[in-house]
Amino acid sequence: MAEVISVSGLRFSYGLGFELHDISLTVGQGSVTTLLGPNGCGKTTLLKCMNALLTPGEGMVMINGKDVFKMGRGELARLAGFVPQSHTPSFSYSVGDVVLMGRVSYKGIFEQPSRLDYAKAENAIEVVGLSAFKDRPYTQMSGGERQLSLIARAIAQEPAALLLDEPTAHLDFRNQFTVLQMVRKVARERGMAVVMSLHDPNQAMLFSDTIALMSSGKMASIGKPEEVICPESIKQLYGIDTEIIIHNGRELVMPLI
Amino acid sequence: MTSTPGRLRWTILAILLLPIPVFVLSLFIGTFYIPPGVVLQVIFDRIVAPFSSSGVYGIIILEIRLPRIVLALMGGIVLATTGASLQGVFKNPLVDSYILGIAAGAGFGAAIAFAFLPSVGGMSQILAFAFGILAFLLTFLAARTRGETPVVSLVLGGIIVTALFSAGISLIEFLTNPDQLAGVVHWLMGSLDSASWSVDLEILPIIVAGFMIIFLMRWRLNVISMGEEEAKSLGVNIGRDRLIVLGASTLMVSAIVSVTGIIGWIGLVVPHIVRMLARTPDNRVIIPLSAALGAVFLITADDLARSLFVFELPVGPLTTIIGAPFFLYLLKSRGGAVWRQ
Repeated sequence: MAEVISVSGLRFSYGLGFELHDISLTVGQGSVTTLLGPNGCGKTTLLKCMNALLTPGEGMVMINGKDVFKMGRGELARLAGFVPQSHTPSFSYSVGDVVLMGRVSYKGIFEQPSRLDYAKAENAIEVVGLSAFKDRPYTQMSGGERQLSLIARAIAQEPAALLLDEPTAHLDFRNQFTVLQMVRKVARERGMAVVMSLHDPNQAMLFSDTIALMSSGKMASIGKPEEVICPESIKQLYGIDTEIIIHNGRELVMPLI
Repeated sequence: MTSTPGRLRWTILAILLLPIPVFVLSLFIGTFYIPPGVVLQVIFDRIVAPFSSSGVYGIIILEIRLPRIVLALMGGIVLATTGASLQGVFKNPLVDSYILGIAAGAGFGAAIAFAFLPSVGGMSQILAFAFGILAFLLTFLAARTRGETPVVSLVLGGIIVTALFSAGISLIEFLTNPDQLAGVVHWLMGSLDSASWSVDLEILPIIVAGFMIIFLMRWRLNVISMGEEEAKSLGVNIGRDRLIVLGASTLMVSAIVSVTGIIGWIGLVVPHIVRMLARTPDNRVIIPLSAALGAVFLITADDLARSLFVFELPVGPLTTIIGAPFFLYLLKSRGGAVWRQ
């Protein structure tokens, strides 16, 4: 499995007491790594450092062997797609227009999208199953459909790495699973290296190849889901008592109440 | 994407072509009555023999009305397209090009010229243009912190710069004598009565260049309007691109305002009407349509200014009197969400 993302010795400080300490992480082609940890543990900060939206004090982030802090935004966008938490933009662009924006890094400043760009956008919309909603205003879509549109936009970007910041936030039960299934499908079928942050240990176990546990800016542990998730690590991370249940060969985290 | 339904296509085409009949019909309108047959005759003669000399009617139509309509055309295009593009940059549908302090700066420059250098011809235009650009630069510098210029800081910078230059205008108005004061007040109201071919030609290159930049960046404006972080992660050098849009807009608006004074509401109202009619906020559609409808708006407003009474009205108050209530109507009829479909 070819290594796509490599983070090493990353340190970041906001100057308000919050810091990331010595984070290291590698993600291979087609594999899904989930950052798991309580609010404020640094998941979003790490994702933003990986996309050069924040500049760390120390450490490196390499994608396909290239330093992300030493390239222009356009080159980085062709290497890494970033899916932000879904939000409502000020203007009600259609789903098609939003996805087409994923092609901007392939175009010059005064250039318009070509036939090829439209074709790639339409293909990406088809992949996430939103072809029927292509002309609908993005602002009128459900949270899940918006998240899928943003994933389609990242697909149209054709990056080697896909970074997702809490892709299941504010989604209902069904949509959380639709989105996560799509993320895994994209990783497998397009060979993208995926890093996402999640809140639910069970979802993390169901959909990740690797889980990285984070607490107060540190990487507590990283490894295969069944190696990393245990009552002790959950207790350490979230401060609650749980037990692991095995059902049909799958491990599940059950809170003790 | 590009699956615009048939009827919408016709609406879009109609808006794009509308400036042509409005432009031609406006040649027939003016404070001085010229029979329509004579207007047609003059236009016909000029087309057949471009270098023939014109009579009095010819001079009124070709040297007074025509350059003025051309100025209105340029002004409408500039104010509406910069309004639309700045709404994209600020990801806020409620701003126009004056938010950067350009209007107050240009007003201050013009006021200095009227009050202290009244004998120097063309000084008000030069100073208004220079101070319009200076105001934008001050706003931009005020907003710049640690190599970034966040949108919120730009808005606040614009408010501060506008306040300072407005105070300056008030002081000049207080210090100047009544004759010169009249000049300042007239300029601030906004009017197209200083139009001439030489003035039009002076500002034409700036406007053509600025408009081409905005027009070519129309698709990129969509991405820019998604917000700073998102545009960055999509691969846009947001700092550079935003500066180009703001710079092109500032040059165009300063050029127009330096001639016409402050004409309000076009940049706010026209892009909204266009988004409603075209049923999309896609700037690839909105920028050209705003240009067309902005031209129609200002040419028509100036037609009214020239023909409502036996004397001429300043067009600035008129665009506000038409624009503001219309905006209120949009607001009320769409339950507050003016920019949503």
